[in-house]
Amino acid sequence: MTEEELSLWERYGRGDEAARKELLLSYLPLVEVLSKRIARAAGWTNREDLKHDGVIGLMKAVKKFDVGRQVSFKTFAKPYILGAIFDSSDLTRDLARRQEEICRRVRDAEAELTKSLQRNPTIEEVARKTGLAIEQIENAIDAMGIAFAGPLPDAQDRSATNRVEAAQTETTILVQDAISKLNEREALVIICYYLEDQSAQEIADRLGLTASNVTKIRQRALHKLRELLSDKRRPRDEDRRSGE
Amino acid sequence: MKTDDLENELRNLKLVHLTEGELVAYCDQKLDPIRRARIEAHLKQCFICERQLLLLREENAVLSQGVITAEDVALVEQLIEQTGPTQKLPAQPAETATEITERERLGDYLRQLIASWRICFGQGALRGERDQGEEVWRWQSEDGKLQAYATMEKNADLTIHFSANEMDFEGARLHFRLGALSEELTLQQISEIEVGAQVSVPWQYRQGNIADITIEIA
Repeated sequence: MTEEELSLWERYGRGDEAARKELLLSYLPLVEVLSKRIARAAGWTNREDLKHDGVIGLMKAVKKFDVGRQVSFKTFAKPYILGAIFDSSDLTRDLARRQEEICRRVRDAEAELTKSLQRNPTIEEVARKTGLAIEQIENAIDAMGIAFAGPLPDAQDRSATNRVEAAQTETTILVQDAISKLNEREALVIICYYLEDQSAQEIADRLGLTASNVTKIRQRALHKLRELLSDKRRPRDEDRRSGE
Repeated sequence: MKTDDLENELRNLKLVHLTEGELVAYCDQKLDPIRRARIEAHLKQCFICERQLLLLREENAVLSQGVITAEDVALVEQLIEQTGPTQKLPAQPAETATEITERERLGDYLRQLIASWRICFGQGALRGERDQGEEVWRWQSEDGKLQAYATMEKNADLTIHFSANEMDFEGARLHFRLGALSEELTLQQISEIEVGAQVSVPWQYRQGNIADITIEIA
């Protein structure tokens, strides 16, 4: 947050209505872009009503935002704006339900395809699997404004507190954590080799090494990762050994 | 972990979708090179996360351009007039950023804690003789904010202790379940800088899979 914005929040905290107006205006473009996405998903040409409702959501977010916390106002405000728009009428509630349904179908198909293909599917593959048009899929992702790692918000409750991010599997968390404990070169070799499917030669070219160096670094990194992960599995055994 | 298993886990990592927090941090260029590389590897092949990133960038762009029309000003003024002046309130319960952040942070810690527990006890590590009060498991979050450990009592009960040097967690209620035991815990102040809770799991309740634990924020 810039000093200027912080000063605005402080002034608003002291009851300065001009600061409130300035804050609302500075975040109004966010309402504009979110209402535009929703209108596009619904095929509506007149989005002034959506914008109006979005501003009400923005006002609520401004009122409730706690500047002392480590979350950006934009991230904080989005669920309020989307919630206010979607909950404003039967028409928008129905729209939200339909978009959520599309997101669910996309997520299910994507998970199924990922399992069978052993890679993330393309949008075309998901479209074929779900029978949806690519534009429909893109519009639904845009309108719902959610990260797919998280659970889809409940159709009846789109409050901010419902957007807790999903648990990744415990192994994923531990492996990611272990990679971050490698030195940068080792971690990059592991990422390039296993996550980007690059050959030793391609990695060598990228990092300015020889292919045999890359292979050695990869083997050393794997060894370290195994050690790090077995430490997590047997904390007591390690404690005992170090105490001896 | 065997080499093949580890390599499979590493290959699977590219399939894991990015969280909103990761995307925002990436978009705001607040990641170290290693995490950035892992995120970029996923983005290269995931249309969903790539789309999410595109949306975040679009939002950042419109906010930085800050184009406001006369109609916008009129709309805001009209709505301010309709709602009247509002005094900025301190953090409110239920829907505030405070709660979201704390819940998310605590939830994140608990997921890691559970992962550690499940991996530690995944192969029935509690079988066999144990000394009274012996610590059988210990975990600490990366930042040291939350700690937990389990001790075996004389009567073979297992006591699990939780403590956090984060007073914001005071009052957090946790649904704890291990085997057949289900309890609600509340993190309460135990010193000026610490909150904590503990739960005792009688041995009878641990029949079956001790790794089968869940802890959820109420």
